[in-house]
Amino acid sequence: MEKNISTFQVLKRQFKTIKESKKSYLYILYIVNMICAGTLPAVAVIIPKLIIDAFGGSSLDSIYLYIGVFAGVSLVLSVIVVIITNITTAEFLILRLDEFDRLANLMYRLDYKYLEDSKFMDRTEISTETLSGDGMGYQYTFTLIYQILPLLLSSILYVIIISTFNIYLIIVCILSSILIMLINSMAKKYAYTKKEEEAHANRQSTYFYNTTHDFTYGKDIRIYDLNDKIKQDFREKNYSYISVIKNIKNHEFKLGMWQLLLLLIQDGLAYFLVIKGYYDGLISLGDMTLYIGAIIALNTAFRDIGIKFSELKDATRYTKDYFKFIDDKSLFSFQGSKKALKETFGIEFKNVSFKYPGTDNYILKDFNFKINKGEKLAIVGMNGAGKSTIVKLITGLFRPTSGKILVNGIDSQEFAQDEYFKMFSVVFQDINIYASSVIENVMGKDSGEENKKIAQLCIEKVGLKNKIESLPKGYNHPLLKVMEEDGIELSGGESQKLAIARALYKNGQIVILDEPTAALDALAEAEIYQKFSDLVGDKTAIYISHRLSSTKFCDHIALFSKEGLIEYGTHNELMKQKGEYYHMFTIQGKYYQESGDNND
Amino acid sequence: MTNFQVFKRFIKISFKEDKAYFFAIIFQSLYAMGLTLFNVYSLKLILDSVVAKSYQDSLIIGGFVVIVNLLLNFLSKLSTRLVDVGRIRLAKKLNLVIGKKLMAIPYRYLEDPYYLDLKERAKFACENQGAVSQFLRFFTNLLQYSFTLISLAIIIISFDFWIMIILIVVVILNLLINVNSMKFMVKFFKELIPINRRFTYLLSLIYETKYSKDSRLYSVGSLMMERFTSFKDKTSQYFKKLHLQLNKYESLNSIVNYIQVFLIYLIIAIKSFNEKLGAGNFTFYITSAITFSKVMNDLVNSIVSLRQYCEYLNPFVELINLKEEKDEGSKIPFEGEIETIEFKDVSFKYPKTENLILKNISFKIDKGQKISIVGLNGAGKTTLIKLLCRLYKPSSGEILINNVNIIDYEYKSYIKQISAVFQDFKLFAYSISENITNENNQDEMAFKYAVDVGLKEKIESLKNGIKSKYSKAYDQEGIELSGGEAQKVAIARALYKKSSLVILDEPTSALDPLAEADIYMNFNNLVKKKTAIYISHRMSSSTFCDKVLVINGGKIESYDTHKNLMKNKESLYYKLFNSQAKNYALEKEILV
Repeated sequence: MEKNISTFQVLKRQFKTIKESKKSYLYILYIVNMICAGTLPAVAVIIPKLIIDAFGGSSLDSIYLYIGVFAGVSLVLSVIVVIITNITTAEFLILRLDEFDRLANLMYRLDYKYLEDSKFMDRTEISTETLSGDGMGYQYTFTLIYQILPLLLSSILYVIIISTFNIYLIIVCILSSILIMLINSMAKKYAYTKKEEEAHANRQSTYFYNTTHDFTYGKDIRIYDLNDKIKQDFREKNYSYISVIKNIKNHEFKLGMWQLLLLLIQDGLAYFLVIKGYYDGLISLGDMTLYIGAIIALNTAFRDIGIKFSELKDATRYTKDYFKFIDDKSLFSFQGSKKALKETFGIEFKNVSFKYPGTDNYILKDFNFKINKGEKLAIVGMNGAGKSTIVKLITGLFRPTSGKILVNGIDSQEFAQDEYFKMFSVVFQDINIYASSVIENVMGKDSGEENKKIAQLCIEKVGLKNKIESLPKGYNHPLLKVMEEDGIELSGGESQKLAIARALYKNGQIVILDEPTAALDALAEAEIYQKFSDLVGDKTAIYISHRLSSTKFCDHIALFSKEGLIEYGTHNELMKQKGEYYHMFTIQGKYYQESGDNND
Repeated sequence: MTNFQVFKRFIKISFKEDKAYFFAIIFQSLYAMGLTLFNVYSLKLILDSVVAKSYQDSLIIGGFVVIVNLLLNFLSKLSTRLVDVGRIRLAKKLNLVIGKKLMAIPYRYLEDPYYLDLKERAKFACENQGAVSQFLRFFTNLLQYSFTLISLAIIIISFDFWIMIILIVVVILNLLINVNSMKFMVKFFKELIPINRRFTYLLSLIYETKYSKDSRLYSVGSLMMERFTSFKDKTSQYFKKLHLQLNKYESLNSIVNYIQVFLIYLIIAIKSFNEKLGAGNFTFYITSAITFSKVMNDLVNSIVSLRQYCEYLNPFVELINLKEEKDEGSKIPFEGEIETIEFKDVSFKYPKTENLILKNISFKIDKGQKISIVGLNGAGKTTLIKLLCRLYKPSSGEILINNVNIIDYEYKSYIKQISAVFQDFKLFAYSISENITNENNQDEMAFKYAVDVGLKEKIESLKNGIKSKYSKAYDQEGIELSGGEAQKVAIARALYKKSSLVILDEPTSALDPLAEADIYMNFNNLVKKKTAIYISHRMSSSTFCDKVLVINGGKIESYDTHKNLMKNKESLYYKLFNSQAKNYALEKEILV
């Protein structure tokens, strides 16, 4: 059940975090700033009146006094404001970054399935945006309240000043300011209705921006002479985007005309009353400057308050989504508590059905399958047959829509998430190298001499020893250039080997390799095949590949098609069957055979 | 480049792109100046009139003030509307300018980490810092404030020269105070750029799907999380220090400002009192002086900000200044088809590297031949192809096509003869049909080629068939293709192009055995009479090619038919082939 959080509740909650972060002194700073920054401009409005009225006098003494006190008080107030503003700006930033940390940790720990759900990822975009800058969302809320409070105080002071002259003037000012604010929100609402259109046009022009700025498109653009076509489309889409913006701004402009009308009425009334008041003998020249000054200042203050309130509404809208997000307990579904098993084990799929969240297509339906303890299984089949899905289910990244996955007879969901993940050494198709040192990429968080030695041994086992030791910083050399300037980039094949070393080091009870040799040349590939038994030992292992040649060193082969598991057995059994596997194997081997035959 | 050079160049480029915008900001600055001046003057008008004139006259003057105010506000809103849209439009235009440039610079820049970094920095400046918009905004302010200051200065000097002196002295004082503060700010923002970049990287590890599997399954994931947290803490401390520094400078500024206020009020009040200037003049000159001081502050801040944004825009301007790849000198247009390809003693090393990737490569390909290139990872196969495509120039030696050095051909007519599918090929967010044909009215032909590469079923399963738009990045209605399906589209694209040379680099790496066999079996049909070069780790592909070029350590080890090469059981080729073939050998026993 989704509770609708109001703007006020968002503010309350956000300000509570100040206390929770043990920074309650910020509350005091807010108040002090309000008083100082609020009175500062009001004093500047009063001073001219005092001086002008004193012109009628005989000596400059009172004028000296007024000016001295004015400058002195203002100086003190403004220095206080400067100091407090700097302190609070830094603290607001820190509060935001701390919250960002909280969000990042949440993202890191939540169920993997959400990360493949594009609707979910859109939701996280909003939460991330709210924390990603000082001019938006979370931090900006603190800043806005900080700026609004003094404006409110100033406004109250101006209202008091003007009301000593004429109550009706105040009422007109307030009314017209409210109307002006209403008009502003009408403009905003209109812009909001155009949001979809704007986002769509922006996405399209941004696509061309990204494509031209992405160097990996460079070869194809040049070879297929797409230069002109892309240029033209880019230009067109820029133009479409600007049209939407023009539309929004034109609407804003037209509404602005009404605001001018209101100003006309307000100003007209104010000047009339003030001039009349002077001629009626009710007010002095000094008073005239005071009231006119106060009215102008009040208008400006109201206008600024209006703008800031509307920005506050925007900012809290983002933050509201963020709070909803981090409060969502349903994001973590691993409720189990069992610890990782110490030895390798068998895996069983029991009546497992699965479809990806947000889709209707069942990838697996009532799937039953058993992998015995210590077995080396090859999973082959056509693209899109669900091979990678099975890996994601086994490793616990996704959970079955219905049915159970048993590990060593225990329901996988009874394990604690972290513990469950510990049991698998997986090398996925898309290799990830992190911007840390070579040895950290393999060891992760582990440290200590013994662990280092083990990691180095793993690196040697995959054939990377020479390459790594040739680097200036050896095993500690940073990878990728983004964090360290002297970082290096490994080639596709080297990266794949490093990923295998990482899996080896982890020493999980189950080893899963998903197309691990796709980027390797024939000899490097053969090396990995040879080492496979070394790498895997007597652990249960799953090997996924297009290259049927690799299945020879597995115990059993499972062949999948779109309909599910269609053949299962040893290589010899399946060849004898002369079914789908036989067909694929002979076709792939055909070209080697023909020449093999020719060789005789 | 110095900041001033960046400033000049950026203004020049922007002016060229959108002259209307610059006229709009001058218009806006003039009206903003008018509004400010009138605000300063209007109170004097009213005060003077009530003292000297009749009630009716004063009311008329009051009305006059209100109406002029309205008019100026109207013009101000109008110019704001023009300038706001103009700024966004100009920013988009500049995006296009860079985009065009990046498509036209020599390819070797795209694989050069220096330019990659330059591009990323330029992108970061525009996307995260809004550098282009902010620069334009502050430039507008600069104009506006300058105009206003000049007119206010005239007023003040005409009243009392000393006030102007005080104001200028204060400005100089503030500048002196701020010199260090500005230096500090500039250094701070420079250091912030790489910090932001690292922060963004660490964030991407958490948000991007591609990292998430490994991040959960391996402890390196939580290592990077810890890095994120400690990086965040470091950044917090960094900002705290910044603000502590700023405190000192800004407080000094405040003190100087209020001393200034004190002196100005004093001088103007005394003069007004002694010379009986009246309330109107008093407020007029006070307001002028105070406004001058405020606008001067704003001007200095704008200059500081502009400087900061010039720093951010440095990579942007450097990119725009890059020389495009244009044919120099007279070039021969390529006519006819490719009859012969010859590498003559070609050696090559990548720019800024020491190692030769290719060493004295010499070989010849005749028209219509299908050549397979094999070798270990990093042997130089893909590099050879890049040279043929003129993405790079040989360090020494020549590549001749039809006995002419390929560099002597006019580029566009040359590249028309070559189509290639690289390992990291890309498809574009156009329809599948347009991706294949590069035109939007060749659906039938596109479909024919799609069927040829094995995409019939997939296309027919799509709602919009071959007109389906590829990729959700562009349009939410777009479709996604699997790795193998995309690869097939890329192959169809290469085959559709009316080239005389087709180059395929690992074109079946993502395809399953049956799909791969399809491509193999149809290869001759698909490629027909064109010359073809085929690179693959799957040695089986060598068997349907005419000859095999074996590259080892940058040199040609052998260049012969598959049959002949297999005769030498010590050769690299034999080892490569056999290491894969032997896995399929068991089949013979079963067949028996």
